[in-house]
This record gives sequence, C-alpha cells and structure tokens, in this order.
Amino acid sequence: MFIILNWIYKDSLTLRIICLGVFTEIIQQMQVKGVQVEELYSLDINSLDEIRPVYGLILLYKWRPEEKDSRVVIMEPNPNFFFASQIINNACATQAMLSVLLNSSSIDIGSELSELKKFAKEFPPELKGLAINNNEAIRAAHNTFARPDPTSTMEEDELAAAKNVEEDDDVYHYISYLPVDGILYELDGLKEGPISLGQCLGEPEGIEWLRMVQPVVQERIDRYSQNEIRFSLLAVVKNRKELYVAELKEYQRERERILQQLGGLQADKYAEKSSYEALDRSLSEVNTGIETVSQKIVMEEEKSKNWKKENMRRKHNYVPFLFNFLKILADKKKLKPLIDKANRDP
Amino acid sequence: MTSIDEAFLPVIQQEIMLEFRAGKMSLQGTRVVPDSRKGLVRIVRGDEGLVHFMWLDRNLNTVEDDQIVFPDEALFEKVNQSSDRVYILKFDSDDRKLFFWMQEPRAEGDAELCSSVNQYLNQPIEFQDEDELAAAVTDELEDMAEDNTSSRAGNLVVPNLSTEVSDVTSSSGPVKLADLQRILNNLSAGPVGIAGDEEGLALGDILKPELIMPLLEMLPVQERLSSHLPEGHCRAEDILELLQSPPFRQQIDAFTYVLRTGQIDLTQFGIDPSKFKFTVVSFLEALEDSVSTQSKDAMDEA
Repeated sequence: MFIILNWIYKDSLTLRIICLGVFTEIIQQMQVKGVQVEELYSLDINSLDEIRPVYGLILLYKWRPEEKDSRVVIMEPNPNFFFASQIINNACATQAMLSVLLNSSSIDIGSELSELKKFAKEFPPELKGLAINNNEAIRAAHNTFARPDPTSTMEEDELAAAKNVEEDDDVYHYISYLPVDGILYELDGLKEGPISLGQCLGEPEGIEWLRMVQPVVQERIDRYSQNEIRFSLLAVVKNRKELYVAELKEYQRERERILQQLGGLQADKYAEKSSYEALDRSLSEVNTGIETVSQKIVMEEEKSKNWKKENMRRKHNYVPFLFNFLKILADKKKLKPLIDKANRDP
Repeated sequence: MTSIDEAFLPVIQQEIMLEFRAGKMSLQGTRVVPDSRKGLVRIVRGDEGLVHFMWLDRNLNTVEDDQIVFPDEALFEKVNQSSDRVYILKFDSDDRKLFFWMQEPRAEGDAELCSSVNQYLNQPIEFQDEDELAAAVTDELEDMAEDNTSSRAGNLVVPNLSTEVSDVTSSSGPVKLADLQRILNNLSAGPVGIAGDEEGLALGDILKPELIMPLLEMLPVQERLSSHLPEGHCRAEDILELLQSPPFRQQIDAFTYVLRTGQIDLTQFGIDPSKFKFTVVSFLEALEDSVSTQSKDAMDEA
C-alpha cells in the first residue's frame, strides 16, 4: 500500500498559477476538447503511469542567458510539425501550451486552432510565432493573465519585452516534450527548431515515451534545484472525468451482463450453486468498481468547480468593486473614522 | 508551526468543525514518504476566529502540526498521480504542499470529506469582539506577513505602468487588471513589504475584515456592488471572504502602489487631482469630498 513519491521541490508558485490559469483559459476559450492540465508532484514512472494518457509535458523555469547547449537542432522537421519561435517573453505559457496542442495527433483542438495550424503551416518559425501572437482568441485568453496592454501594437510589446530582458535577468522560459510520429522531441521556443531525443515507439497514449522522457526531465530538474532555479512541471493529459465516465459505462455494461446471466441461472433448475457463487462474486466486484469510479467522477467535478472559482477570482478585476466600495463608505461618512481607527492600531 | 504547548490546550476552547482519520507524509531529501502512524486531520476554529488545519498522532493524542489557513488560500485535492488515497493541501500564497493519506475505512466517503475540507477552509473569519480580536488577528497576520503575498506589492523595480485609463465602471477598469498582474509578476526574490510609516496608510490597512465587518450592516452593498463581483451577488459574508482572499489583497496592494506613484488619472474617479498628494489618505479624503459634492448637487437640483 505504501507509496513513495519522488518529490519535485522548489517549484515556482507564480509560474504554476499563471500557467495553470492560462492553460485552462486557452482550453476553454479555444474549445479544445478532452484535455486538462495536471500539476506534477512526482516523476516516478508509476505516478506518471497513473495519469495516462499524457499528451505532453511542459517544464517552465526562470531562464538565464548563459545556458549553453551543444545539441543539434532540426531545421526542417516533419512538415506536420508545428514549431514556433518564442517572440514575446511574456507569452511563454501560451506558447508552451500551444506547442503541445498543435503537435499532438490525439487531441481535438477545435476549429479555431485547426485553422491557425493550417494557415501558418508553411511559415518559418518566427512567422509561426507571430501568427500565434496575433490570433485574437489566443491573445484574449493570454491577456487575461499575463500580458501588458492588450491593445498595444506588437512593436510596443517587443520594446517592453526587450526592456524586461535588460532590467530583469530572470525571464520565464518553457520547454515542452512530446512524441510526434515516432520521435520524441524537445521543443524550446528560443532555439531555432526542435531537438530530437530519439526514436520512440508506441502510442502517444502509452508509457514508452514517458519512460524515455523521464530521465531527461529529471536531469534538468536536478540541475535547476542545485542552482536554486525555480521551476514548474505540468502535464497535458486526457480529461480525467471523461476517462472515468467511460470506465463507468464499461462497468455498467458488465453489470448488465452478469445480471442477465444470473437471471438465466435462476431459470435453470439444474444450475449449480458454485455458478451462482462465482457470478455473485463478479457482481460484487463490479459493484465495487462502479462505486470507486463514481467517487472519482465526483472528485474531478469538485476539482473542476474549485478551479473555475479560483480562476474567476484570479482574473477578475476588483478595481471597480474596490472603488465603488470606497465610494459607499465615503457616502456614509465611514472613511474618516476608518482611517482614524487604522491609524490608532497599526 | 509545531506547537507542543497546544497539545495541552483544552479542546473545548476551539470549535472542531471536521475531523477524519488520515496519515501524513513527510519530505525526506527528495522523497515524499508516508508516515505510518495513525493520525487525525482536524479542522478547528480557534478562539481568535481563524481556521486551523491540524494533524494529530492518534495514539498519543498530541497535536503535531497546526497550520492557519485563510479563506481562499488553500485547496485540498486528491493526487491523481497516486493509485492510493493520497491528498494534497496546497496553498495559493506560497510553496507549501502537505500530503496526507486517508485512513478512514470506507473509501466511498473520501469525496465528501474532501469537499467538506474545502468548504471549512474557505469560510470567512468570524470576528466576535472587534477590538480584542483585531489585536489577536493583527498579531497572527504579522507573523504571517513574511509569507503573505499580499504584502509584496511595494518597492517594485519596474513601474512601467500604462497610464491609459478608461471608464471606471467597465470591467477593464482605470488600471487594467493585466497591469496589476504585471506589477506582481515583476517581484524581486523574497517578500517585500509596503513602505510603512514613511508613506502613510495603505489601502490594506483600512480594508481589514475586522474593521469593515461592523459597518457592513449599514452599507447598501447588495444593491450597489453585486454587479462588480464575479458571482453577481454581494452579501456581507462575500465581502468578508473577499477581503481575505489573496487575489483581492494583491490588487489592493497594487492599487496602493499605483496611487503612491501617481500612475493614475484621478479625474476618472471624479476626483479633483489638486487635492491628491500621492498618499492613500489624501485619495480617500478627496473621494469623500467629491461624493459629498455630488450629493449636495443632487439635493440642490431636487
């Protein structure tokens, strides 16, 4: 029964919150079906197995310019491959999410993103990056959380971004990992192209690519932890509730079958007691299964409800509320007494 | 966090809201390892009005962990990465993560327990006697100030705020939400407090639940403020909860910063900018003046 998790420590709160927020926003607004984002606490292969199918991993961290990498970049990957350069520093969360969504063969990305993918298919990486950043729906989703003025021009953003880099050594950076057409890739928006980590057999829904990617990510995480670099690790997985609902249906079908068999036995006066017992046992197993998976469904609904609530609060602009609240207080002449009281007990 | 003394406090002083059997897990190096002891998670409202999330060793009946949790700060959820009944208590305001494993015999009850935990953790703080508790709460809050994100928005390095302003009543607001978020994103490492006495009162000093609560009865909050809240309703308990929630407090702090650095066009608030001296207090005074002028005009017209 006892579980041991390899702890992913030193995770970055801000990154995690902003990225989970942006990811959820993008999924919802772009009407991407059947996926959700899980925060990872462990890289144990067993714990990765638990949340399968995993469509991609996203590692986010604070990047320093001196990082050197001698690995070869693939300049002309597979034409189906969508590799976009990271144009705007603040857009890393969005790009991270899209790099997985636009390259995964297993996800229904909705019409908006399909159009974008088709439109930008022949573009070089920088233009792909621009296309992403200029897409209205994507901007809207992203701006809710992290961008400066949503109506500013690209130029202003670039200037702002450049300024950020000069003044602020720490720039958020992302790397995604996912298998595409039998090869495991590392996608880094600041490089010129994707990096191949080798051939990777098996379905994207399977465990092979996870086994392969695990030591690669582990190595990075170890390095970051040693250097006090804060990071966050997220996984794009199949929507859990959908998985459980499918499982529930299976169980219910099985239950039907068993009940029918039991009915058959009852009608048969030569039926053996042992057959009854066997079917009874199966029935009880299936019932337990139904109970367990129903619980899991309730749990996911609860999680989703909590997340929506948190997200709503996070993106809500409270300034109008704040101002109007202060006005009411002013109206009722409660401001001065409040100020006095606050000054009295600092 | 660990308080041996509290183990001997008579339990009757605290209101037990929920308890259930669960073991805890501890971090050993890089591994999270289950502690095999029989344990109890107990959620309690202390006599200072704050919610405590505690873990007890069931055999020794001692309190080993005691976390104070503010509303809207933490979430208790099942860890999908484990096939066992592992749960995590994670916080919005910092990196703390606490893992637990259920020891209740019936797994079927887990979902309900989980939901109850979240409900109790997010109840607004109840303030009974205003003055006494204000003191107690302030002490607690000062202890937490190191960790509390809401005190971080001062002394920022990159005040590149857009001074673009729009209608106060629209959802984009005079200071765009994204700008406030950007201020907060550009935090330097480590908590930074808002410059205290030199710059005077901060908005957060006035908008404290214990100061606001006694006033709520006489304020028309439901009529005038519901439309400004995401859930569309505004009851007294919503305001109390909001005043304690990290996203809201972050925005108050960012707004204080914006006021002090003059990055805002006050005419949009209907305020005479000549009265404003880059302090929160002068802003509030100017606001009160403008409001009384408005109502005076209305009366004159009538």
